[in-house]
Amino acid sequence: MIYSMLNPPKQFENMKKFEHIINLAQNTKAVSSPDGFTEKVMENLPPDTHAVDSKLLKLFYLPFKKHNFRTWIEVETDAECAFCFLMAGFFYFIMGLVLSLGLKTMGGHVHVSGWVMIQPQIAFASAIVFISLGIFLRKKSMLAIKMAYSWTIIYICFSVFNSIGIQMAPGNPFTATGMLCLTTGAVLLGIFLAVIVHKYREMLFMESF
Amino acid sequence: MNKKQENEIIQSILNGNREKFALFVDKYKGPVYNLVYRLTGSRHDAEDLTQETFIKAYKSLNIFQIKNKFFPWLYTIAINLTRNHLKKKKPLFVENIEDIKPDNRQSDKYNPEINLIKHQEAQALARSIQRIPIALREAVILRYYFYLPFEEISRILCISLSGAKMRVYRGLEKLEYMMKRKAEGRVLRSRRQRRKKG
Repeated sequence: MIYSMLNPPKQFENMKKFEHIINLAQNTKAVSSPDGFTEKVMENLPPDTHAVDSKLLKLFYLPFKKHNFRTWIEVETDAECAFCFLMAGFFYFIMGLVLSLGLKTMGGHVHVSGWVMIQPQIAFASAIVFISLGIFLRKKSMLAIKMAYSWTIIYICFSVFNSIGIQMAPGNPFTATGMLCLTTGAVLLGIFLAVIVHKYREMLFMESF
Repeated sequence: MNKKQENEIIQSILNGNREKFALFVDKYKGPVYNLVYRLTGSRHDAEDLTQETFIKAYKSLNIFQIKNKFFPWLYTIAINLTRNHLKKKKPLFVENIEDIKPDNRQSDKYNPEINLIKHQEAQALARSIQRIPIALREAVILRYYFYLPFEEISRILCISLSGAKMRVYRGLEKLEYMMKRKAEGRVLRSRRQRRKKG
């Protein structure tokens, strides 16, 4: 590392457009740390507590460190964040269509309660909210971020209550396992969107100063 | 100090030999101080934050994974601390960075005029870097002041490889725009001065 700092390579990549800036940065002298710095740090080190907790800490920390979860989901631009919401909206739109067609064909044969019958409308309403938020998020406004974040929380809670409501409704056409899978999927989607919004907010914040 | 020696030192520190930590401080104080200085533009903040970085590294040494390299881990700590510091305290002005000078390894070292222009440009660049968003600043500094590969940058900043490349590119774009505007401003000012004299 120190060797590479003292012996900078001539060029890393072919970015002719920025050659001047890159050369300027690479030819800038490094500043040296103040005198007596090491002594100062050593004086301020806390008393040793490592030996006792190191093994226990590693046991819990290792799996998280091994897979850097933070890099799994990443948002760099408003378009990426908006895209996720638009896709969620599109998914719910398709789901609404499938549900309305399915319930129409099933309606004549089985008696289905009102709560189950309004599921297509709920799916369409969710699609509208997701798509509107997707469009609004392109505006790079803090209000859009807050609204998107609140909506994902409401959406997660509602998904859980909705599936309980469906299970309790008379003439429910869904099996318990099927409902569990659907709810888990909806909750995971909600968490994913919440993480996306959080990362986007962080990114916007870092860009603001 | 190679990787094996570093691991031995870490093990020794974890076993209670805290004096050995001075070896790490000695080795990395320069790069960490430089990094924080480039990020904040203030010598005073750089000293405090570098000190804080080493203390935090010492406290967290028990969660450091021996198979990883030590310096990216240290850089991550330094960058996170700097980010938090800048969130709390926005720099009101950029310090006069007089120690940024064109390197003497240049072939035109005996040409004082070219050296002066390069010196001014390097100062302008240092000031522009302070004005670009911190996320882009970190990536550009790690890439062009520290010569780190994109893989290392992505690991230090905890972002993906494409994310690191994108940040560096966007940072350079912003810098180029700012430098152009500064250069245009300089030309206009010199024209005005000439007109006044005339």
